[in-house]
Amino acid sequence: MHPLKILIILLSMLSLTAHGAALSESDRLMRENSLLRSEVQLAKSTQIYVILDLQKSRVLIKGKGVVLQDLPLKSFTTWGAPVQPKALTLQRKTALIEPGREEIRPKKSEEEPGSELQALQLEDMPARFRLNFDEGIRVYVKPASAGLLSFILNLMSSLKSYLVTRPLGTLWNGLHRQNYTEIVLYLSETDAKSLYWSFLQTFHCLIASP
Amino acid sequence: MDDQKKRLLKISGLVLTIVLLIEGMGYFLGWRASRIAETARTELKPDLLNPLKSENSLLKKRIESLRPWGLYIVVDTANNLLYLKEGNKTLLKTTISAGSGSILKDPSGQRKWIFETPRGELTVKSKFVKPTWIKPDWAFIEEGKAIPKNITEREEEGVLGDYALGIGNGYFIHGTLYTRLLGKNITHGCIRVGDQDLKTLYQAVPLGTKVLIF
Repeated sequence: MHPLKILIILLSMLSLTAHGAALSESDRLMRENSLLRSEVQLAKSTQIYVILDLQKSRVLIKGKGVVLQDLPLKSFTTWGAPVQPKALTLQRKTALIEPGREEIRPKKSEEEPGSELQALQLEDMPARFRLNFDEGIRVYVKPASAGLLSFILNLMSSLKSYLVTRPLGTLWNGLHRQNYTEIVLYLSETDAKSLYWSFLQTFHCLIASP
Repeated sequence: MDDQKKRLLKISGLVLTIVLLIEGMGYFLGWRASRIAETARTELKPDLLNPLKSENSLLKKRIESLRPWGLYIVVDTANNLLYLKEGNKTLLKTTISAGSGSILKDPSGQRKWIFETPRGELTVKSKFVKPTWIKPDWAFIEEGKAIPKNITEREEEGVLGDYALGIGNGYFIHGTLYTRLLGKNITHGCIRVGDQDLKTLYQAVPLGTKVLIF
Protein backbone atom coordinates (compact mmCIF):
# COMPACT_ATOMS: atom_id res chain seq x y z
CA MET A 1 0.00 0.00 0.00
CA HIS A 2 1.19 3.52 -0.73
CA PRO A 3 2.69 5.21 2.37
CA LEU A 4 0.39 8.22 1.94
CA LYS A 5 -2.67 5.97 2.08
CA ILE A 6 -1.34 4.36 5.25
CA LEU A 7 -0.82 7.83 6.76
CA ILE A 8 -4.36 8.94 5.89
CA ILE A 9 -5.91 5.76 7.34
CA LEU A 10 -3.72 6.00 10.45
CA LEU A 11 -4.55 9.66 11.04
CA SER A 12 -8.27 9.23 10.54
CA MET A 13 -8.39 6.17 12.85
CA LEU A 14 -6.38 7.77 15.59
CA SER A 15 -8.06 11.16 15.40
CA LEU A 16 -11.35 9.38 16.01
CA THR A 17 -10.12 7.35 18.95
CA ALA A 18 -8.25 10.10 20.79
CA HIS A 19 -11.38 11.98 21.80
CA GLY A 20 -12.36 9.45 24.44
CA ALA A 21 -15.66 7.77 25.06
CA ALA A 22 -18.72 9.32 26.63
CA LEU A 23 -18.52 9.80 30.41
CA SER A 24 -20.51 7.59 32.71
CA GLU A 25 -23.01 9.17 35.12
CA SER A 26 -20.68 8.85 38.11
CA ASP A 27 -17.73 10.26 36.17
CA ARG A 28 -19.83 13.16 34.96
CA LEU A 29 -20.98 13.93 38.50
CA MET A 30 -17.46 13.72 39.91
CA ARG A 31 -16.09 16.01 37.20
CA GLU A 32 -18.96 18.44 37.79
CA ASN A 33 -18.20 18.31 41.51
CA SER A 34 -14.53 19.17 40.98
CA LEU A 35 -15.42 22.00 38.58
CA LEU A 36 -17.99 23.44 40.98
CA ARG A 37 -15.56 23.27 43.88
CA SER A 38 -12.97 25.11 41.78
CA GLU A 39 -15.55 27.69 40.71
CA VAL A 40 -16.50 28.38 44.34
CA GLN A 41 -12.86 29.29 45.00
CA LEU A 42 -12.70 31.51 41.89
CA ALA A 43 -16.02 33.21 42.66
CA LYS A 44 -14.74 34.05 46.15
CA SER A 45 -11.84 35.99 44.65
CA THR A 46 -12.02 39.48 43.16
CA GLN A 47 -10.74 38.25 39.79
CA ILE A 48 -12.64 37.69 36.61
CA TYR A 49 -12.50 34.08 35.40
CA VAL A 50 -13.44 32.17 32.28
CA ILE A 51 -15.40 28.95 31.90
CA LEU A 52 -14.91 27.06 28.70
CA ASP A 53 -18.04 24.92 28.75
CA LEU A 54 -17.68 22.44 25.92
CA GLN A 55 -20.72 20.51 27.14
CA LYS A 56 -22.96 23.48 26.44
CA SER A 57 -20.81 24.93 23.63
CA ARG A 58 -20.24 28.27 25.32
CA VAL A 59 -17.47 30.44 26.70
CA LEU A 60 -18.57 32.25 29.84
CA ILE A 61 -16.73 35.22 31.28
CA LYS A 62 -17.65 35.37 34.95
CA GLY A 63 -16.97 37.34 38.10
CA LYS A 64 -18.37 36.55 41.58
CA GLY A 65 -20.47 33.79 40.02
CA VAL A 66 -22.20 36.29 37.68
CA VAL A 67 -22.12 35.58 33.95
CA LEU A 68 -20.69 38.80 32.53
CA GLN A 69 -20.47 37.65 28.94
CA ASP A 70 -21.79 34.57 27.20
CA LEU A 71 -20.04 33.71 23.94
CA PRO A 72 -21.63 30.83 22.01
CA LEU A 73 -19.29 28.44 20.20
CA LYS A 74 -20.04 27.76 16.55
CA SER A 75 -18.15 24.46 16.86
CA PHE A 76 -15.09 22.96 18.50
CA THR A 77 -12.67 20.03 18.30
CA THR A 78 -10.55 18.41 20.98
CA TRP A 79 -7.49 16.22 20.82
CA GLY A 80 -5.25 14.42 23.28
CA ALA A 81 -5.29 13.88 27.01
CA PRO A 82 -8.53 14.81 28.79
CA VAL A 83 -8.49 18.11 30.68
CA GLN A 84 -8.47 17.86 34.46
CA PRO A 85 -11.49 19.52 36.10
CA LYS A 86 -9.55 22.19 37.97
CA ALA A 87 -8.65 25.87 37.64
CA LEU A 88 -6.03 26.45 34.96
CA THR A 89 -3.95 29.58 34.59
CA LEU A 90 -3.48 31.33 31.28
CA GLN A 91 0.26 31.42 30.73
CA ARG A 92 0.49 32.96 27.30
CA LYS A 93 -1.80 34.57 24.75
CA THR A 94 -0.32 34.74 21.27
CA ALA A 95 -1.50 35.87 17.86
CA LEU A 96 0.19 36.24 14.51
CA ILE A 97 -0.43 39.98 14.57
CA GLU A 98 -0.74 41.19 18.13
CA PRO A 99 -2.26 44.60 18.83
CA GLY A 100 0.42 47.02 19.95
CA ARG A 101 -0.07 49.72 22.53
CA GLU A 102 0.15 53.28 21.27
CA GLU A 103 2.58 55.55 23.01
CA ILE A 104 1.22 58.98 23.82
CA ARG A 105 3.39 61.88 22.76
CA PRO A 106 3.17 64.82 25.14
CA LYS A 107 1.11 67.63 23.60
CA LYS A 108 2.72 70.73 22.21
CA SER A 109 -0.24 72.95 21.38
CA GLU A 110 -3.70 73.44 22.87
CA GLU A 111 -5.75 70.59 21.44
CA GLU A 112 -8.94 68.93 22.58
CA PRO A 113 -7.95 66.18 25.02
CA GLY A 114 -8.72 62.75 23.66
CA SER A 115 -8.85 63.81 20.04
CA GLU A 116 -5.32 62.61 19.41
CA LEU A 117 -5.50 59.44 21.47
CA GLN A 118 -4.68 56.42 19.40
CA ALA A 119 -6.60 53.94 21.50
CA LEU A 120 -6.95 50.19 21.22
CA GLN A 121 -10.48 49.27 20.20
CA LEU A 122 -12.21 45.91 20.01
CA GLU A 123 -11.84 45.91 16.20
CA ASP A 124 -8.04 46.01 16.60
CA MET A 125 -8.03 42.67 18.42
CA PRO A 126 -7.11 39.50 16.51
CA ALA A 127 -9.80 36.88 15.88
CA ARG A 128 -7.20 34.08 15.51
CA PHE A 129 -5.07 33.42 18.52
CA ARG A 130 -3.70 30.77 20.84
CA LEU A 131 -4.11 30.45 24.58
CA ASN A 132 -1.47 28.38 26.38
CA PHE A 133 -2.49 27.02 29.76
CA ASP A 134 -0.55 25.02 32.28
CA GLU A 135 -0.76 21.19 32.06
CA GLY A 136 0.13 21.32 28.35
CA ILE A 137 -3.27 22.59 27.25
CA ARG A 138 -3.46 24.72 24.13
CA VAL A 139 -6.65 26.41 23.03
CA TYR A 140 -6.80 27.77 19.49
CA VAL A 141 -9.49 30.36 18.84
CA LYS A 142 -10.61 30.92 15.25
CA PRO A 143 -13.46 32.76 13.59
CA ALA A 144 -16.03 30.44 12.03
CA SER A 145 -15.58 30.39 8.25
CA ALA A 146 -17.36 33.28 6.59
CA GLY A 147 -16.12 33.80 3.06
CA LEU A 148 -13.43 32.16 0.94
CA LEU A 149 -10.40 33.67 2.67
CA SER A 150 -11.59 32.62 6.09
CA PHE A 151 -12.37 29.12 4.75
CA ILE A 152 -8.89 28.78 3.25
CA LEU A 153 -7.21 30.04 6.43
CA ASN A 154 -9.22 27.62 8.56
CA LEU A 155 -8.40 24.75 6.17
CA MET A 156 -4.68 25.54 6.32
CA SER A 157 -4.88 25.82 10.07
CA SER A 158 -6.63 22.42 10.32
CA LEU A 159 -3.96 20.84 8.10
CA LYS A 160 -1.27 22.32 10.33
CA SER A 161 -3.08 20.95 13.35
CA TYR A 162 -3.47 17.41 11.95
CA LEU A 163 -0.02 17.16 10.39
CA VAL A 164 2.12 19.18 12.77
CA THR A 165 0.82 20.41 16.12
CA ARG A 166 -1.19 17.36 17.21
CA PRO A 167 1.38 14.62 16.55
CA LEU A 168 4.49 16.68 17.20
CA GLY A 169 3.04 18.53 20.19
CA THR A 170 1.98 15.22 21.73
CA LEU A 171 5.38 13.68 21.02
CA TRP A 172 7.32 16.69 22.32
CA ASN A 173 5.24 16.94 25.51
CA GLY A 174 5.43 13.14 25.87
CA LEU A 175 9.22 13.32 25.81
CA HIS A 176 8.99 15.89 28.62
CA ARG A 177 6.53 13.65 30.51
CA GLN A 178 3.73 16.14 30.02
CA ASN A 179 0.26 15.76 28.58
CA TYR A 180 -0.77 17.52 25.41
CA THR A 181 -4.31 18.67 24.81
CA GLU A 182 -5.44 20.72 21.87
CA ILE A 183 -8.82 22.42 21.79
CA VAL A 184 -9.93 24.40 18.75
CA LEU A 185 -12.80 26.82 19.26
CA TYR A 186 -14.74 28.44 16.43
CA LEU A 187 -16.58 31.62 17.39
CA SER A 188 -18.08 34.49 15.45
CA GLU A 189 -15.40 37.04 14.56
CA THR A 190 -16.71 39.64 17.04
CA ASP A 191 -16.93 37.08 19.85
CA ALA A 192 -13.40 35.83 19.12
CA LYS A 193 -12.12 39.43 19.34
CA SER A 194 -14.11 39.96 22.53
CA LEU A 195 -12.53 36.87 24.06
CA TYR A 196 -9.04 38.12 23.13
CA TRP A 197 -9.82 41.45 24.78
CA SER A 198 -11.34 40.00 27.93
CA PHE A 199 -9.01 37.09 28.58
CA LEU A 200 -6.00 38.53 30.37
CA GLN A 201 -2.87 36.69 31.33
CA THR A 202 -3.13 35.55 34.98
CA PHE A 203 -6.86 34.89 34.55
CA HIS A 204 -8.02 31.46 35.60
CA CYS A 205 -10.05 29.17 33.41
CA LEU A 206 -12.17 26.10 34.00
CA ILE A 207 -12.69 23.71 31.13
CA ALA A 208 -15.77 21.50 31.19
CA SER A 209 -14.94 18.70 28.75
CA PRO A 210 -17.69 17.27 26.56
CA MET B 1 20.16 10.51 -14.76
CA ASP B 2 18.32 7.28 -13.84
CA ASP B 3 20.63 6.77 -10.87
CA GLN B 4 19.95 10.30 -9.72
CA LYS B 5 16.18 9.72 -9.96
CA LYS B 6 16.48 6.47 -8.01
CA ARG B 7 18.56 8.16 -5.33
CA LEU B 8 16.04 10.99 -5.09
CA LEU B 9 13.20 8.49 -4.79
CA LYS B 10 15.09 6.61 -2.08
CA ILE B 11 15.76 9.79 -0.12
CA SER B 12 12.12 10.88 -0.50
CA GLY B 13 10.94 7.46 0.68
CA LEU B 14 13.27 7.59 3.66
CA VAL B 15 12.15 11.10 4.63
CA LEU B 16 8.49 10.11 4.25
CA THR B 17 9.03 7.00 6.38
CA ILE B 18 10.71 9.05 9.12
CA VAL B 19 7.90 11.61 9.01
CA LEU B 20 5.32 8.81 9.12
CA LEU B 21 7.06 7.22 12.09
CA ILE B 22 7.25 10.48 14.02
CA GLU B 23 3.63 11.40 13.23
CA GLY B 24 2.52 7.86 14.05
CA MET B 25 4.31 7.99 17.40
CA GLY B 26 2.66 11.33 18.20
CA TYR B 27 -0.77 10.01 17.32
CA PHE B 28 -0.12 6.81 19.26
CA LEU B 29 0.83 8.79 22.39
CA GLY B 30 -2.32 10.93 22.06
CA TRP B 31 -4.46 7.84 21.65
CA ARG B 32 -2.76 6.16 24.62
CA ALA B 33 -3.28 9.24 26.85
CA SER B 34 -7.01 9.19 26.17
CA ARG B 35 -7.16 5.38 26.68
CA ILE B 36 -5.36 5.65 30.04
CA ALA B 37 -7.82 8.34 31.16
CA GLU B 38 -10.70 6.13 30.01
CA THR B 39 -9.55 3.05 31.94
CA ALA B 40 -8.81 5.17 35.02
CA ARG B 41 -12.45 6.19 35.26
CA THR B 42 -14.17 5.06 38.41
CA GLU B 43 -17.67 3.79 38.83
CA LEU B 44 -19.46 4.88 41.98
CA LYS B 45 -21.98 2.63 43.66
CA PRO B 46 -25.54 3.79 42.86
CA ASP B 47 -26.15 4.72 46.52
CA LEU B 48 -23.26 7.22 46.35
CA LEU B 49 -24.64 9.01 43.30
CA ASN B 50 -27.47 10.77 45.11
CA PRO B 51 -25.25 12.33 47.82
CA LEU B 52 -22.95 13.55 45.04
CA LYS B 53 -25.91 15.07 43.17
CA SER B 54 -27.01 16.83 46.38
CA GLU B 55 -23.49 18.13 46.99
CA ASN B 56 -23.33 19.48 43.44
CA SER B 57 -26.61 21.34 43.80
CA LEU B 58 -25.37 22.76 47.12
CA LEU B 59 -22.19 23.95 45.41
CA LYS B 60 -24.30 25.65 42.69
CA LYS B 61 -26.25 27.43 45.42
CA ARG B 62 -22.97 28.41 47.09
CA ILE B 63 -21.82 30.04 43.83
CA GLU B 64 -25.17 31.83 43.55
CA SER B 65 -24.74 33.12 47.10
CA LEU B 66 -21.42 34.73 46.16
CA ARG B 67 -23.16 37.03 43.66
CA PRO B 68 -23.34 40.67 44.73
CA TRP B 69 -26.35 41.46 46.87
CA GLY B 70 -28.73 44.22 45.75
CA LEU B 71 -27.57 46.62 43.08
CA TYR B 72 -24.29 46.13 41.28
CA ILE B 73 -22.54 47.63 38.27
CA VAL B 74 -21.08 45.67 35.36
CA VAL B 75 -18.63 47.36 32.97
CA ASP B 76 -17.82 45.79 29.60
CA THR B 77 -14.58 47.54 28.56
CA ALA B 78 -14.46 45.82 25.16
CA ASN B 79 -17.83 47.14 24.04
CA ASN B 80 -17.79 50.29 26.22
CA LEU B 81 -21.02 49.47 27.99
CA LEU B 82 -22.11 49.90 31.60
CA TYR B 83 -24.98 48.00 33.18
CA LEU B 84 -26.69 48.72 36.47
CA LYS B 85 -28.10 45.39 37.63
CA GLU B 86 -30.06 43.85 40.42
CA GLY B 87 -29.94 40.06 40.35
CA ASN B 88 -30.44 39.11 36.70
CA LYS B 89 -32.45 42.28 35.96
CA THR B 90 -30.79 45.11 34.02
CA LEU B 91 -32.00 48.46 35.36
CA LEU B 92 -29.75 50.64 33.19
CA LYS B 93 -27.60 50.05 30.12
CA THR B 94 -25.50 52.90 28.83
CA THR B 95 -22.57 53.63 26.54
CA ILE B 96 -19.36 54.66 28.26
CA SER B 97 -15.72 55.30 27.49
CA ALA B 98 -13.17 53.00 29.13
CA GLY B 99 -9.36 52.99 29.21
CA SER B 100 -7.38 53.41 26.01
CA GLY B 101 -4.59 50.99 26.83
CA SER B 102 -2.10 53.63 25.63
CA ILE B 103 1.27 54.19 27.23
CA LEU B 104 2.79 57.42 28.50
CA LYS B 105 6.42 57.64 29.50
CA ASP B 106 7.87 60.26 31.77
CA PRO B 107 10.53 62.13 29.73
CA SER B 108 12.94 61.40 32.60
CA GLY B 109 12.49 57.73 31.70
CA GLN B 110 11.78 56.76 35.29
CA ARG B 111 8.02 56.34 35.16
CA LYS B 112 5.55 54.76 32.78
CA TRP B 113 1.75 54.69 32.81
CA ILE B 114 -0.54 52.24 31.02
CA PHE B 115 -3.99 53.76 30.75
CA GLU B 116 -6.18 50.73 31.28
CA THR B 117 -9.39 50.35 33.20
CA PRO B 118 -8.69 47.88 36.01
CA ARG B 119 -10.48 44.54 35.65
CA GLY B 120 -12.07 42.49 38.39
CA GLU B 121 -14.32 43.22 41.34
CA LEU B 122 -14.13 46.79 42.66
CA THR B 123 -16.31 48.71 45.10
CA VAL B 124 -17.87 52.17 45.10
CA LYS B 125 -15.79 53.75 47.87
CA SER B 126 -16.72 57.40 47.56
CA LYS B 127 -19.36 59.65 45.95
CA PHE B 128 -18.94 63.28 44.94
CA VAL B 129 -21.19 66.05 43.66
CA LYS B 130 -19.50 68.65 41.41
CA PRO B 131 -16.17 66.86 41.77
CA THR B 132 -12.88 68.65 41.39
CA TRP B 133 -10.19 66.82 39.50
CA ILE B 134 -6.88 66.71 41.29
CA LYS B 135 -4.67 66.28 38.27
CA PRO B 136 -2.07 63.56 38.66
CA ASP B 137 1.50 63.89 37.35
CA TRP B 138 0.72 62.12 34.07
CA ALA B 139 -1.86 64.78 33.14
CA PHE B 140 0.86 67.47 33.22
CA ILE B 141 3.36 65.28 31.40
CA GLU B 142 0.80 64.53 28.69
CA GLU B 143 0.07 68.25 28.32
CA GLY B 144 3.76 69.01 28.11
CA LYS B 145 3.62 71.16 31.25
CA ALA B 146 5.77 71.25 34.35
CA ILE B 147 4.48 69.30 37.35
CA PRO B 148 3.36 71.84 39.99
CA LYS B 149 4.52 71.63 43.59
CA ASN B 150 1.42 73.32 44.99
CA ILE B 151 -1.71 71.11 45.18
CA THR B 152 -4.04 74.01 44.35
CA GLU B 153 -2.41 74.19 40.93
CA ARG B 154 -3.52 70.61 40.34
CA GLU B 155 -7.22 71.36 40.89
CA GLU B 156 -9.46 71.56 37.84
CA GLU B 157 -13.20 72.21 38.02
CA GLY B 158 -15.90 70.94 35.70
CA VAL B 159 -14.02 68.32 33.70
CA LEU B 160 -15.41 65.32 35.61
CA GLY B 161 -19.06 66.26 35.10
CA ASP B 162 -21.64 66.70 37.85
CA TYR B 163 -20.97 63.50 39.80
CA ALA B 164 -18.17 61.02 40.44
CA LEU B 165 -18.08 57.59 42.03
CA GLY B 166 -14.67 56.57 43.36
CA ILE B 167 -13.86 52.89 42.79
CA GLY B 168 -10.39 52.86 44.36
CA ASN B 169 -6.77 53.49 43.36
CA GLY B 170 -7.63 56.87 41.84
CA TYR B 171 -10.17 55.45 39.37
CA PHE B 172 -13.61 57.02 39.05
CA ILE B 173 -16.88 56.61 37.23
CA HIS B 174 -17.50 60.23 36.19
CA GLY B 175 -19.00 62.53 33.57
CA THR B 176 -17.40 63.96 30.48
CA LEU B 177 -17.21 67.08 28.36
CA TYR B 178 -16.62 64.95 25.28
CA THR B 179 -19.90 63.06 24.93
CA ARG B 180 -19.24 62.44 21.21
CA LEU B 181 -16.36 60.17 22.24
CA LEU B 182 -18.59 57.90 24.34
CA GLY B 183 -18.38 54.37 22.95
CA LYS B 184 -14.65 54.62 22.33
CA ASN B 185 -11.77 53.48 24.49
CA ILE B 186 -10.13 56.83 25.08
CA THR B 187 -9.81 57.40 28.83
CA HIS B 188 -6.83 57.16 31.15
CA GLY B 189 -8.49 54.28 33.01
CA CYS B 190 -11.54 56.01 34.47
CA ILE B 191 -15.04 55.26 33.19
CA ARG B 192 -16.78 58.18 31.52
CA VAL B 193 -20.59 58.21 31.48
CA GLY B 194 -23.08 60.60 29.85
CA ASP B 195 -24.66 63.26 32.10
CA GLN B 196 -28.18 61.86 32.52
CA ASP B 197 -27.10 58.26 33.10
CA LEU B 198 -24.42 59.41 35.52
CA LYS B 199 -27.08 61.20 37.56
CA THR B 200 -29.24 58.04 37.61
CA LEU B 201 -26.24 56.00 38.66
CA TYR B 202 -25.21 58.44 41.37
CA GLN B 203 -28.71 58.52 42.83
CA ALA B 204 -29.20 54.74 42.67
CA VAL B 205 -26.02 53.22 44.01
CA PRO B 206 -24.97 53.42 47.65
CA LEU B 207 -21.40 53.26 48.94
CA GLY B 208 -20.19 49.67 48.96
CA THR B 209 -21.87 48.81 45.65
CA LYS B 210 -19.88 46.15 43.80
CA VAL B 211 -18.48 47.01 40.36
CA LEU B 212 -17.54 44.08 38.12
CA ILE B 213 -15.26 45.17 35.30
CA PHE B 214 -14.19 42.87 32.46
